[in-house]
Formats: sequence, structure tokens, C-alpha cells
Amino acid sequence: MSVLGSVSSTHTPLDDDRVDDDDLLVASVTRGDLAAFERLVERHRDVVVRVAARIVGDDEAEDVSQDAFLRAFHRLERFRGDAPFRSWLLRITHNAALDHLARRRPEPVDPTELDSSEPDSAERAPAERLEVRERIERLERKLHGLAPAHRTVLVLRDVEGFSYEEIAAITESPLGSVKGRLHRARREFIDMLRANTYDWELPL
Amino acid sequence: MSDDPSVPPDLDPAERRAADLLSLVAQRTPSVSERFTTELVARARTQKAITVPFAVLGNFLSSLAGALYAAFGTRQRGQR
Repeated sequence: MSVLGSVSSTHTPLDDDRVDDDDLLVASVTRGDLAAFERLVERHRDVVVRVAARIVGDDEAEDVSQDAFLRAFHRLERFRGDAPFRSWLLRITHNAALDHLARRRPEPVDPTELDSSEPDSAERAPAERLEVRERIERLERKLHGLAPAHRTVLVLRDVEGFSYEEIAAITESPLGSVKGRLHRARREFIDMLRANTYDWELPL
Repeated sequence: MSDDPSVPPDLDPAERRAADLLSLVAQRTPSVSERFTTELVARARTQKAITVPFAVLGNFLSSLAGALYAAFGTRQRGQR
């Protein structure tokens, strides 16, 4: 069994030094420096795996992330630096995740299953922690019931906290489309939450 | 209008609640194999080892085809 580590959950805003460093590392990789590629991977691995996991699910997130990094590796010479490297990489991740979903057979979402999670009896924890974990698991299942385009914008904005501009760059969509899609995604998500018996404390 | 991710603009109460619930999801982070980077770099190295010779061969064949066309193609045109 593989040794697992946890990825960082905090979203770090891009700062200028980091962007400059990314550009330098990209230049080194294009000259054949694989150690620079390794540093780029280490630097962006957490956010790539998180975004992939929230689009395709935990089980396939690593495969999709590796695919995204390899696609980026082979296309690095085409990276012009017009947008930050992270946005460019997440655009590739987003496309790899959508390709993966398109190849996968659609799984019908059973509305009763969405609310049927029972905590693993072997992992009993204090009641409050258990309740939070159960809520998160339910929310993640709801997210996976959304259309991929809606899921993606909700993940990027409300879970990862990216700016509208970066989401537009990642999804290759105009800013206005991103805002409109986000609005429709939130409404779909709210309708889905209201469609079951669990009390999400949603105001009318 | 602020674009600060922590301040969702113009959300109705239900949308604000949905955004709050989704921020809860950020608390759970997926686990990743510690071999992730090592395996990835190894795959990149292998793929590069395969693709670079093919690219060189492709460029060589392309140049050769160009040279042959220049030599024989122009001669045939001259004979007509």
C-alpha cells in the first residue's frame, strides 16, 4: 500500500516572486532540466490534485493529475507566459479531468443514495467531528451530481477561492460566461440540496 | 465590485449559505501518494527518451524528403 500524505488545503494567492520563479523553472525545463520539472511539480501538486479530485473524485485524482502534468511537460515550449503558469497548468488539469469524465461511463445518481451515508463504525470520532465529516462527504456527493461544467466553476470559486479572472483563464471562457455559469451552478446546487430530507439550513 | 473570494458579491441568502457549505468542503483535502512526484518525473524522463529520437528522426525524414523533391522534382519539371 502506498504511503499517503495529505495535500495542503489552503489556497495561496499568486505572488510576483512565485510567478517569476515559475517562469525561470519553465525555461530550465525546456532546456531539458528534469530537476526543474520536479520542482514545478512539487510546487503545484497540491492544487492540481485538489482540483482534479473535486472534479473526478479522489480515486482517480492522482491519475488525472499525472496526466495533466505530463501533458504540460510535453507542451511547455508552447507556454508563452501570457497568463501565470498556475492558470495554464490548471487549464490543462481541467481539460484532462473533463476528458476523463467523458471517457468514463456516466453513473446514474441515485437520489436516495446521496443521503444514505453511514459513518464507518471502525472510525468513530467525537460526535461533532463526525458530523462535520459526514456533512462534507454528503456535500461532495452532491457536487458530483452536478453537470461537470457547473461542478468545475463551483469547485474553483467556492471551494478553492480563485478569482473570476483566473477561472476564466482556466476554463477558457469569457468573464461574463463564468459569472453566469457560476450563478446557474449555485442555483442547481441549492435545488439539489433542497431535494432531500437532510437539513442544510437553507433560507427560503 | 470586490473580487475577493471571501466576499461573494450580491448573493441572496440561499446562495450565501450554499457558498458557506461549499467552503466546508475545502476543509477536507485529498490524500496523495508520497511517490507521486518520483513516479511522475520517471514517466516524464521515459517519455522524453522515446519522443526525442522520434522527433529527430521525423525532422531528418522531412529534410530528406525536401531535398529529394528539390533534386528530382525540379529535374522532372525541367525535362517537360
